[in-house]
Amino acid sequence: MKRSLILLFLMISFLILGIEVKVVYIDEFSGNAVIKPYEVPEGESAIEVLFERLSSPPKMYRSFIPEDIFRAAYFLEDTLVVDLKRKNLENLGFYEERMALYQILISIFKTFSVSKVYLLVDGHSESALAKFVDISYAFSREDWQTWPVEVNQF
Amino acid sequence: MRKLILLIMLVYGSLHFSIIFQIGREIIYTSESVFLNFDDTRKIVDAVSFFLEYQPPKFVENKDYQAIIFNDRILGYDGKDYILHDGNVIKDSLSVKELLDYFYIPYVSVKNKIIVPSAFVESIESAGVLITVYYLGIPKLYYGVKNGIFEVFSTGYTFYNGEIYNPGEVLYQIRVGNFEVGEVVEEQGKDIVKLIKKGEEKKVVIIPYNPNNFSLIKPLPYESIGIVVGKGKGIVIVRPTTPDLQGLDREFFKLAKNTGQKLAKALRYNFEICPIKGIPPASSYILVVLENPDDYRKLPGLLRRLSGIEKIVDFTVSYDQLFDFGN
Repeated sequence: MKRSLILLFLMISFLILGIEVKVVYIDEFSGNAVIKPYEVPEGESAIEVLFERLSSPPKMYRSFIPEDIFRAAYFLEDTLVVDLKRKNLENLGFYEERMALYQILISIFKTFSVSKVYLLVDGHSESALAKFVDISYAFSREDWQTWPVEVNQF
Repeated sequence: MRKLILLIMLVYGSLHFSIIFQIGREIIYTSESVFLNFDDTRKIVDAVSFFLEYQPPKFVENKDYQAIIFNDRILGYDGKDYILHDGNVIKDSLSVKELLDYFYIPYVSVKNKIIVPSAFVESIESAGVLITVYYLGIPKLYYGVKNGIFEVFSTGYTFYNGEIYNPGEVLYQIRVGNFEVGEVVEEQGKDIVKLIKKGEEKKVVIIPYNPNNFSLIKPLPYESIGIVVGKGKGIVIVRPTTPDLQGLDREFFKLAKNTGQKLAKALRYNFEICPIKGIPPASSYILVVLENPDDYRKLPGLLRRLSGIEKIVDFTVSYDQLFDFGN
């Protein structure tokens, strides 16, 4: 029992601390999604660093993640539950809301070896991230490995 | 022979015991006295917690004082009296009913039997052709469709929405038209019922998106496609699968994705995979955000050609009346 607890603790530590986060931004010129890796400073939480980076894109890149939307995160076996703040999501339009979801999910699945992600808002399972994007069901690694937009408009 | 002995024992028990305590149909405790000793209170609370998957009780012992901590309440016993409500109520005896009431455990009384339901149905959710029943405990449920209404029957004692349903009672109904129960997948803590409608001709249904009312979005006949239209920047969106549905939504996703990609190419719209509120999982519904009235006009013909489905059922309104998603 003690051994498995230690293993679990090590696994959680590995997942939260001491790794590189992979953050998805949009290239302002091409409109393509790009992934930028960032080291997590020692002692800091990877998931918090991920959200901080998501909301502060470097020059030439765009992000649809509002500042200060991260509230908490919990790892449960192979699942990551991420809790977000409602007040900072409310003003997202239809396009921004979709792009924000894609950025969050792909960044998470590229960074952490979880197979499922649940998104909560203010601690509750909600029917929408802001207005239109349904977050009441879990998201799977299988579906969120690649940017989910196929461009046919020229 | 074994059944006969059991039956004789049950009849004998029913006649001779003052109290028979059951969880569902399992007899947990019998007694000639209505009142419990403290060991029996422990047994009953333990059994309820085990069968119904409650948070396990804690048992505390300190010299002559013993206590059970369960469901946010403490029941103390000093070797003579029961101590309830943090010492505000002292009782020299406790019946099974008083014990269950104190720990907020629902039950029904049938003659000398006290029956706690064998399952607590927490919620029943309908999404597309899937109906998911979430529960605690061991459910005794039967799923069927009668006169176009899907029903969940209790075949044991089931607690749902604040009430206990006896064997044979219907605890949930929803109109599903010509669908029937196809498959029931049993997972830990939930049953997923998949409805099928193979007999009916497949069709393409076009309906307007309304963010406040999704009543037009109904289960579709087998291999049919639903197109939900709004206006804004041209885009075709299909819902992804979810691990919550254990792969039951894969075939719907495949059909929607295939048609959606073809439609997006034909209209020169971007194609996206995103869960949109109101578009149910495990359904072949596609959201099409139209860019102009011309594309709207040619949509039925385009769908007929791309899907190979002849029958188009169009419930749409004029382009100006479509919901505007903005740009």
